Amino acid sequence: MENVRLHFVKINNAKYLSHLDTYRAIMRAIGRTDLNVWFTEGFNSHMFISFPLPLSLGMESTCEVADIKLLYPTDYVAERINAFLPEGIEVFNTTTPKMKTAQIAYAKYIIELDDLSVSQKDLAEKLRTFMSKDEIMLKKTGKKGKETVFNAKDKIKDYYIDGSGKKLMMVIVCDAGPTSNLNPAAVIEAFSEDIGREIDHISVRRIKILTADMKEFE
Amino acid sequence: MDYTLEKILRSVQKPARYIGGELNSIVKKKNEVDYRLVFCFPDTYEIGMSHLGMKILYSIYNSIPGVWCERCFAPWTDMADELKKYGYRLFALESKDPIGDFDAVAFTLQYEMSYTTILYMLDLAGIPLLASERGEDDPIVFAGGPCACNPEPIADFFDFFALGDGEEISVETVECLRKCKREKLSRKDTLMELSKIEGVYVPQHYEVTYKRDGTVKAIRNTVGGPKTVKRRILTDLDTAYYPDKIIVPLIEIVHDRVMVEVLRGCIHGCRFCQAGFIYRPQRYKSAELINDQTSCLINNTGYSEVSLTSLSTSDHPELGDLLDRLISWTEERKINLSLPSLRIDNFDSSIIDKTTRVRKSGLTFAAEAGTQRLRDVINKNVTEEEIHGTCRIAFEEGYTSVKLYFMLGHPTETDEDIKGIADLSQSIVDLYYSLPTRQKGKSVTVTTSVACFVPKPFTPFQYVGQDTVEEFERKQRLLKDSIKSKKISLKYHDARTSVAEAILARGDRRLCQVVLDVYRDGAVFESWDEGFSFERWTRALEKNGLSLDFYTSRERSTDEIFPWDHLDYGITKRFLKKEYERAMSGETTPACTEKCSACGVARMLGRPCFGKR
Repeated sequence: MENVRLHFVKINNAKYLSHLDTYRAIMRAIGRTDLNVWFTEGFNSHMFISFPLPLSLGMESTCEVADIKLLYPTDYVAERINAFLPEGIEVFNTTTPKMKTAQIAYAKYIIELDDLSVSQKDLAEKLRTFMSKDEIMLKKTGKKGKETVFNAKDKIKDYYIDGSGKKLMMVIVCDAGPTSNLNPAAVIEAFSEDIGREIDHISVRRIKILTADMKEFE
Repeated sequence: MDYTLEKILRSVQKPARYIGGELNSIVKKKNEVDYRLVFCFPDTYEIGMSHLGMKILYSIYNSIPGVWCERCFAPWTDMADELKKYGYRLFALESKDPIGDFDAVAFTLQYEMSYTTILYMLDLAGIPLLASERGEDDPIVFAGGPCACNPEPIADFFDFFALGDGEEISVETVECLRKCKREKLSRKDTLMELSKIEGVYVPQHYEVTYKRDGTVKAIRNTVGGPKTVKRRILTDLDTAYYPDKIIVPLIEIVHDRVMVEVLRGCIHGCRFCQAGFIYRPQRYKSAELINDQTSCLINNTGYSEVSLTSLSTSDHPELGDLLDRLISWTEERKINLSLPSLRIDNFDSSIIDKTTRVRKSGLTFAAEAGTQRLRDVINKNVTEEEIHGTCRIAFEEGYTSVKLYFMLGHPTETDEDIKGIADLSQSIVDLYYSLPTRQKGKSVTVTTSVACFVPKPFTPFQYVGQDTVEEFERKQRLLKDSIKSKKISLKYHDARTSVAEAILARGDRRLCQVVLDVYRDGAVFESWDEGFSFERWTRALEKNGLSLDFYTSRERSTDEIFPWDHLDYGITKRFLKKEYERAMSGETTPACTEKCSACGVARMLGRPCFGKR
């Protein structure tokens, strides 16, 4: 059995696919290939695919990972799968997994904002003020519908705002993984609420998955 | 994608419903096409994308160079709110262009309760709802599908209807529409040209007058065209167009699998079943072709399940051969076969064995009525012994649950017949416990699912008065009280929806205003529980001076002129009357393949339905 880690991008319209739909899209694409993948052996046998860090609906990513098992080593795995993937999802590398899911601690995102009715300088200033607060309180709805409030600042490791380009840009590194996770889109939502207007264009793109010592997840 | 659409998609649930871009969806270059149409399904993406007819027609239209057919589904109410908020018009999935700017907008009429959703979609598109109010720049709005056999309650909203099988008429009408567009013909002249195509019904060419009692007095073609419109029949499924690629949705849909149509029409003639009459004669594909189409579609989609669809798959004369061919390659590739429409009277253990190799799914059998007497009335030619025999096979193959399907409100039904449903269900439970082969310690579940009978046009029961809501509810209570065992799980449908459906099924043109009023009253997605309200219908009927009973519970005389009498589906009224009389005297009619009952379809075909192919 050969463990294979698929590294793929999920961009453009593919950002509107939920995690479950992404899972199905990849499973189907693999089903269309002649790859011999391992199926689980339970009552309802299905193709084994595992996602170390699911991506939220509406976000793009250039660093997604999914693990599969092949019955024997095979060449051109990425090319074979890509032939059948929907637009916006593309496998760009395959590796043998070096790290375990539990080692994931942070993720790095690029956020782009554009608002047609506010000047970019103005928006950048507002974002700087907002981000420099000690507390950015966000609401979180638990599985049983219970609402809890937490300070997002505790989960933000680092950030950087650049207002010099065509669109306002913020790079942010924050907690990711099963123990502590922050959805940076929620921070932008809170910002939008704070300035009292709907921002015309928001794009959130994950660019790196990182370990506790800031190494890239491999 | 523009910022506005981005913003809209950010704030709705399941945005992937609205983005297109699925594998095998078709995007053409705008400067290479001269005719653009959009196929609309008046329900959600998940339901519409499960529809086989759309897959076939989408593929046919797009096989024509110069023609581009896109898709559009009813946006859920959260999406509709956002579209309205930003003044964004309903758009087609492939190009995101507003459907109001297309050359033609086509709808499929699958069930009556989708009619108000059609108006909702037209409204969101900014297309005038009434055909009479559309200008030269508006798209031609047309429809086809089973409900087109009586489109009178929605006649005012459509420019034309295409009757019968769609494979050929779709190409002929779109070529005609292109020619008219090229020659810059007016709307009026375009409709006149279209009406020359067999199967095209232009409602505004016909005038309906009514008698004092509210029934139809006469239906007249006012432009010198044909008195009746004949539906189209595809004579040979083996040579008919069938797609080699189907769109693979990005999100999970209701029937998320490859569907291969194995036969069309049905040989049985159950007297309540509209599909059993309007799709006559039964035509089937060869086992070899079905196998080829299945393998081609599996390879082009990556699905791991295939459903062999039809009105009655076990009637396929080469079913055994077909399943053997399929299993020879599907089992190894872990592809699951499912046969959704099996009959009780020709079921055997080899079918179970062959369709459960990869995954086991549920078994549903349609008994339709609880007693032999009533099953004879409705011409459901299955016996209690056959039902028991079938369930025994299922239990012996390891099944511990079966689903039985019935209807309440068949003509001549008595309380004894209703108790018969409970008795029959109980006897299946008892059968399970009497079998020595049953798995020890495992309980049985018999799911008894009970719908309400809706009389439909072109069936022998088109004359029958439907039960009232109160009567249906009394019968449902009686049935519930007659069931004693906890092993029987009873499920029944809401009677009010079935009564509303019955208004429309045999309705006339005066209902167009009612449908419009119900829509204006807020109705949309009425096939969903949350979208339906019976009071809207009774209110609108009252407002228009029309009576519910006139359309639903009134028994119709056999010499009444029906609102759909100018539409010719091949089935003669003489045959339907005779079948109605036979029903009333409890006489059954054999299947088409046993003995021709002279329904009239062979005459339309110009040859016997069976025999030489």
